Amino acid sequence: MSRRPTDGAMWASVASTLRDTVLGSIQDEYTQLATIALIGVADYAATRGADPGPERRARLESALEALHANPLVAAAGSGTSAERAAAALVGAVGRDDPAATEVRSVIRTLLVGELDEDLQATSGMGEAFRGRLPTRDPA
Amino acid sequence: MTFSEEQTAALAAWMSEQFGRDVEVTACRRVATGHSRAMVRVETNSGAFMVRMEQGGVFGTSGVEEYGVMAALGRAGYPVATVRGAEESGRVLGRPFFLMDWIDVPPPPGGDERAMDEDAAASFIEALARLHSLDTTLLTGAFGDLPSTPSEAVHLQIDRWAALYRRSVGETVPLLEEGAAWLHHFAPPLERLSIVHGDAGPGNVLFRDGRTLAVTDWEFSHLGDPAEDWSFTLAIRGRRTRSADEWKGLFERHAGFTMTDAGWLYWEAFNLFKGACANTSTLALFEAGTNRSPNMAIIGTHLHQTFLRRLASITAESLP
Repeated sequence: MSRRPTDGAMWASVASTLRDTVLGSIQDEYTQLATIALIGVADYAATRGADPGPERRARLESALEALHANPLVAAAGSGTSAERAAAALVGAVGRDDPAATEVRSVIRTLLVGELDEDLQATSGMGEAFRGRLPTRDPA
Repeated sequence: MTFSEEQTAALAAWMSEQFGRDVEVTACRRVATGHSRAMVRVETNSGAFMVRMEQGGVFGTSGVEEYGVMAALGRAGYPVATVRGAEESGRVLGRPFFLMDWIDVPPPPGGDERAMDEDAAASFIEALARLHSLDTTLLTGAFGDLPSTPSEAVHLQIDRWAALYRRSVGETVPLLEEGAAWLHHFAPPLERLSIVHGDAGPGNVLFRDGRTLAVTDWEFSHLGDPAEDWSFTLAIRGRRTRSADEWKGLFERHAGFTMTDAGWLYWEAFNLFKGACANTSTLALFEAGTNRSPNMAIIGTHLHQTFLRRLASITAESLP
């Protein structure tokens, strides 16, 4: 059985070919910008790694379990971890009592930290969206 | 992107019908701006026009509604590009579109479409204030959802954007749900409804010699609180071209508009929530194959995350 190239290597090839071979020959402004955006997407696909979703769901579930005595978490019902986290955060809006403060300091901090990780991972796409070639080299 | 020969012929036939005379399309060129609609410059023997074409439901907005808004504002003498007709069926170009006049303007200073000199900024601010003072009954036929009272308007908008994100993502995003609850909780009262642009600021205005020729991109327009537009200009579209204090000074000088710090914070959060929700629609379209443009993936991920992160930094606290 022959070996298959990895998805990462193929996406890196797409990005590198667009950057080094295709982009320089494009005159039309719209096509140039679309190509730069595509380089950003291909770089991201090449480097983003495994889906963090399952691990994050487990981490959120653990955080909710640890706060099971918190009245806002207890009142959040029995949906998915995201639904219960949302219900607890919604219940905490406009309140500064210990239960609300605990929900924000644990659940919110966890979610905002994950959002920061996502932003870091997609920053090259942000540059590409603004028409700048992503500076990060996936190789 | 240009149109195929068949599409070009179909567009010429449709334009001939609209104009009541033979129209020959001589050139089409995709313009490098705009995400909610594909913008194609069309040159004809009757002049140059812009085709503003649906992109499969980007941002959950409607081109037909936008066309109706522009037509009504144009009739009221407000500076918008003249609209020439709307094609809702998708039979002519494969997607619904509307046609408007092409407006020739000189290139913006330094090639930056968001750059505005002092005269242009003053003219834009006066135009925005004028929009907010127009009689809202001009547009009551143009919108689907109308608030029954002024104070209901902001809640209607929060629910509109939350519903779009829920449809687009298919699972709960806790920080967006918290954002919606925060906005409902701290919503300021409103005494009088205004026509709100919804995407106001640098990049959505055309100028010549410091004078506003047309305010563009009306897909987010609705009835609501003018503070939404002033905040959108300051905190979103004009953020990198002028400081917040500079914008506030200009608003006060040219429109007499001022707001408390809490008000500015509230409306920044509102606009970030709107952006974070609207941006989720593009990833849904990208993944469904409705729109495979790479910018759809980027708006739905990085831009969505950027708006959500800024929103989360405001909603971490109660409003003072």
